[in-house]
Amino acid sequence: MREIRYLQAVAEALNNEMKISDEVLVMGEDVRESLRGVTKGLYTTYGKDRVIDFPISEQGMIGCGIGSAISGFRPVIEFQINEFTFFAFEQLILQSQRLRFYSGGKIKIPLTYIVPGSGARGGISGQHSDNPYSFLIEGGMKVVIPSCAYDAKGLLISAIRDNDPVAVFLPTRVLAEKGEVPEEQYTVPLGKADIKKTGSDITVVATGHCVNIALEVARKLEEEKISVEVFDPRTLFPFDKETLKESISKTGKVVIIDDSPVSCGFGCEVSALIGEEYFNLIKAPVKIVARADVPIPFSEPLEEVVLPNSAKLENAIRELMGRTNA
Amino acid sequence: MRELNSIEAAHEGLKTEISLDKNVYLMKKEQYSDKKDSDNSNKDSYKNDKVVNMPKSEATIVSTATGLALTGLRPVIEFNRMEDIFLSFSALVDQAAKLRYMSGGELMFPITYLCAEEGVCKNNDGLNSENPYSFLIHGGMKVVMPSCAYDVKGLLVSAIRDNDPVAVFIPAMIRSEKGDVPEEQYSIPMGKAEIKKKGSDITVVATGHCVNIALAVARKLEADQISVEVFDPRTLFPFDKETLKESVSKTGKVVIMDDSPRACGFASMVSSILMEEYYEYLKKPILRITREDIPVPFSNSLKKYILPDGEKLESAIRKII
Amino acid sequence: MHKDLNKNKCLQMYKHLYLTRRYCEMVVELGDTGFIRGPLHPGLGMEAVVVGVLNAAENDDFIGVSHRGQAASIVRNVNVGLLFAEQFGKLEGCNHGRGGTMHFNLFNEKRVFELDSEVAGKVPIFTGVALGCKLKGLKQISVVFYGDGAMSEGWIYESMNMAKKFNLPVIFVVENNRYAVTTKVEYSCSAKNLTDRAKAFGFEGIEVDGMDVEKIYAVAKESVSKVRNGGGPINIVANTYRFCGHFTAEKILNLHYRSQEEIAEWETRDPIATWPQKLIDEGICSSEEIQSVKEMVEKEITEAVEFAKSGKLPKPEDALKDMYATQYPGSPRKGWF
Repeated sequence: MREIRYLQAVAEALNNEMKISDEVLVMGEDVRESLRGVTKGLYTTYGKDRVIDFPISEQGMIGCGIGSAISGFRPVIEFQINEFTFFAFEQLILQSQRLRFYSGGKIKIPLTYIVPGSGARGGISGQHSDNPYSFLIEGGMKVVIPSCAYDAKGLLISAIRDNDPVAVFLPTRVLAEKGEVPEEQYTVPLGKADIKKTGSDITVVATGHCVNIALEVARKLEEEKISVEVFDPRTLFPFDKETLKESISKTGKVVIIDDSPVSCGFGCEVSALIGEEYFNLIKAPVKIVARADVPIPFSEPLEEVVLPNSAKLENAIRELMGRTNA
Repeated sequence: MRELNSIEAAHEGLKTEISLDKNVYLMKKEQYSDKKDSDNSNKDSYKNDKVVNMPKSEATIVSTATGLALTGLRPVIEFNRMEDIFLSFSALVDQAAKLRYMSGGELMFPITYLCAEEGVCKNNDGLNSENPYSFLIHGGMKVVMPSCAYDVKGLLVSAIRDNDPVAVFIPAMIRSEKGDVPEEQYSIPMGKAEIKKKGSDITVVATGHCVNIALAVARKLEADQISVEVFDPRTLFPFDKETLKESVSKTGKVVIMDDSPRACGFASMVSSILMEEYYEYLKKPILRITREDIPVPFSNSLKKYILPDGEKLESAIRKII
Repeated sequence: MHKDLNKNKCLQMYKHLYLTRRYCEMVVELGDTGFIRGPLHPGLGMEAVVVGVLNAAENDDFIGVSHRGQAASIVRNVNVGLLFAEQFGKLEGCNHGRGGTMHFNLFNEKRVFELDSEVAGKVPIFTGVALGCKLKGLKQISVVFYGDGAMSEGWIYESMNMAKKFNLPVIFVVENNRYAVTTKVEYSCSAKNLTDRAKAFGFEGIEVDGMDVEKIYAVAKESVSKVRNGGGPINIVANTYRFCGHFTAEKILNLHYRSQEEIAEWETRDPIATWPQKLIDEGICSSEEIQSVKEMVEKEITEAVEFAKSGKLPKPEDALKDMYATQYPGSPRKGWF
């Protein structure tokens, strides 16, 4: 099978969905020229009525997206900068996420939000390095984070076809990664996790680019006979707790590595879920490796310290393997 | 000692602080005619003109306060509708909460966001029943949530005197609850929880109006010989985990009751701290009584399903015990 | 020519222009050679706007500049080494390595603030600074810069409304370089004349040639005086152009949104190339004096880069410091236990 880059897989998914259905629109800033690469070539193929450049007015843009979605379109809205989700937060959560409920289920809002290049990109500092998905999860929005090219194409297609707002975060650190991707359109179901590597000693729940970190650490620890199972939720919300339960019943130990804040981030939610529903299946503390509660600093030694990385994950795994109640 | 309700206590603390510190200013959005100010009047009652009535531009109000802080002032912004937090989200989380760190510690933003009447109250529809404090915790902003009139005044004074942005949430459901409030100005230290009722069988971590619910349930369960310890964090962020540790090491069992969204909310943060740092003390699962992950509906019977209440807390406690 | 613009003032302004230009060119070079990481947004061609306005304002007026506004620090005589050091991530940098490019903070020392990089984020902040000046009875004014792309952000208009309503001493300066990344201003902005926006809020909007530093100085000088005397807010729209891409990565991304002819045409109006000759032709200064300024600038740049290179990187354990001015135990949490 051919191998293509993650970003290419995303662009292909979007292009093909636009070909299949006239309802799919693209909205964003600089999407005609495609600054972020996701929408490259779409304007030339589909024209100005389906690929729409907006002025830098995020609230207005999301509002237009919501209106278009209610009127029968399937807008795909690209956020040029991660923090634009904060600018448009009220429209995202109080409007796009709530309106269907408040209408008593009468309207559907099939929106897809894409955040390309989410997370710290190295040297872009505090206001451009966020990974705002935990905020959207708290707002009740469906959130997916593909970790490889195959998942990226399949999940984006599922997100576009889903009849609710879905936020798709494309982590910066995996955009250039290559992987095997089928040429045809296919879906990866929302709400279904994937065990990226089976193991028996410890479950590592990893999201986005942290999946690659987890796989790297797992390979290293194999040599020391520590068998790590790498659990990739793929859909962060709604979370696939059944698959997590199967994994934890096997290993009894969990480390969560996730690139959102340590306080009220995604890691907390998984830990709280385990503490509430699967407490009897685990034998050790649930460790979290997440971002520190500070904005991302600019200087390289500082930036490395506040982000989750392989050394921290390895330490956490070793600590747990050295201390269980078994 | 005389009794005041939460709103009166907030007013008193705020008014005195404004008169004590020449740099403290109150910024209010233009009032709706049927809503009363936290001083129970519909007009400015501060004679020394330390109140600025702002137009209905939420994000700009918050950002303007950041600018006031740059000139050395200490603004207090009063939000009267919780969706204002969402409208000004980037000004709160992406500016006010971050700028000091990004300046390398050179700048200081001593701003207080006073969110009076947050959360559900009688006959409000969903959009007016938001509880956005957990969103601010994600962003690293300090958040306090008093549960009684005494704490309201003391925490508000601390928040104003703190040199960072602090969001003070006064739950709508405790608005009219009266309590003993000293006349003098006093502060309650931030970052310090309080055990509102001692107990030995189970720790209930409760925030805001859920503290009163927890106390009521605790009283009821005494009759069944279940001894409930009610832990009120008071400061939600930074969270006092030392006091929680003492409580959990005694009881070994925890239920967290918090009126904000379930997923990635305050309750999940507390649970994750327990599961990681104090796991050795836990004997049972940690149950969370929170809002469901759906919006608050208008109909009261539907609301009952979504919101945390005493029945759910009691059944959770009984389940663990 | 404005009466203030005597030889000394002109040479001083030329130095500001040339130093800013050399600083930007050096930043690109240092980015290409790996000394500065991350995307870079130089403002080559746009220097005259900030230089003209800052020279017209007083040294203690409050200034909020955009991500291409390093000229403000330069006009206020900041050691350029502090900027380079910050971009190298060094402790000696003006933000001690926390902020980096686009986030320079010199507010305490020089009242220049580039810290917030949200689109149009400084506009409401500096409206707030103007409100603070008014509440405290200060004589300083507030000047804030933003671009044509940022003109679409809602909170600018909320700020303008507030500024007029409260009669605040704030000058809103638009650096209209005609493009928001790849989007033309004609596409994104509904106003035929950009100054119409201010007029809608009831205050003056003045359009000026942003490549002519003398005209900018004159307009700014008059505006600063009116605003300081309680005349309320003013909007200046300066038509300028960036010769470089939106950011240095544009070369790799291969974006085609404007023609080479257009760039070349604007380059003929580059004030750094054309203004010295005008000054010499009018007898304001000599070519030797211009040359002397250039040499001084080159020396300053070289020393500044050396200063930055010799600086120290922060220690990793310092990453959690300075989040809060009032500390509590255990915060901020570090992300792993």
